[in-house]
Amino acid sequence: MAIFNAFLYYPKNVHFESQEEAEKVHFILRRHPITNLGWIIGSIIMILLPLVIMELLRGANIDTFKFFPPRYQFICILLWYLLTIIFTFESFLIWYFNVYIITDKRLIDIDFRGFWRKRVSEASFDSVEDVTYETNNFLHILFDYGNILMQTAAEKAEFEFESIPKPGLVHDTLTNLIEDYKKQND
Amino acid sequence: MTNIQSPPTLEKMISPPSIDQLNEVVSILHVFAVVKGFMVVFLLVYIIISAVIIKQIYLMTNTIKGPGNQIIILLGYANLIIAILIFVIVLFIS
Repeated sequence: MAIFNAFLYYPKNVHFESQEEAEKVHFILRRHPITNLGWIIGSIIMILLPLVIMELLRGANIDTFKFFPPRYQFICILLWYLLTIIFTFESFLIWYFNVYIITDKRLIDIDFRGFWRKRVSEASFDSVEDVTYETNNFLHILFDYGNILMQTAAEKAEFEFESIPKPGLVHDTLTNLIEDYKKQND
Repeated sequence: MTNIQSPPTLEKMISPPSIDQLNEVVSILHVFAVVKGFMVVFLLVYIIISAVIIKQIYLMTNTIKGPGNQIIILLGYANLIIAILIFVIVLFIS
């Protein structure tokens, strides 16, 4: 589904909180989907665990229905799957709403952690001095994702977009955008 | 003649309880009432967390507005409704 992509180039119908009227969004970036592998595997294990346990008990000839009524077993399994749902949903939310935004004026890093923590950092193109991208490991190369590091003159000296898809393309476009912006404002 | 019973062997003493014995222990200790209590508390906490997540979703969707937001809000409410339904089922379980 396009709306759940990690790489949105000139996204339509996407706006952010502090967006100015004439400000155009060039990129909305999330961490590459492969970085979600940890919680996805965790969720799959949680889904399969009751089935595996039941199969093991059946294999050992332990009839749990004799001392634990079926209705209680059913509710216990439902509660377990509720836990699975909340774990998966929360992990997805954290991934989906932690975004990096590149507009025609600035860079924005929106970071949510836990239930309440929200941090929004931004850097104007004026303050960006150097843009670097890096791919550090085999997975980065295999799935074409990496980090973009930006040195800024602002108080927060370094700005980092972590594990974003197509870092080469983003780096090139970002460099051009910064050059254009600086030319226009000189 | 006196009827002298032989003392229980060590094997008998450490043998695992049978299902009937477990049933007896379970009925004496009202284990199911305790289990039901745990389920109710668990579900109450779960419902509170689900409500907090809905609040969190609104905070997030106000920060970034996109076409996927409606689906996510619906999922949040679906999670809360499912939890409330299970809570009602647990309350009526005997």
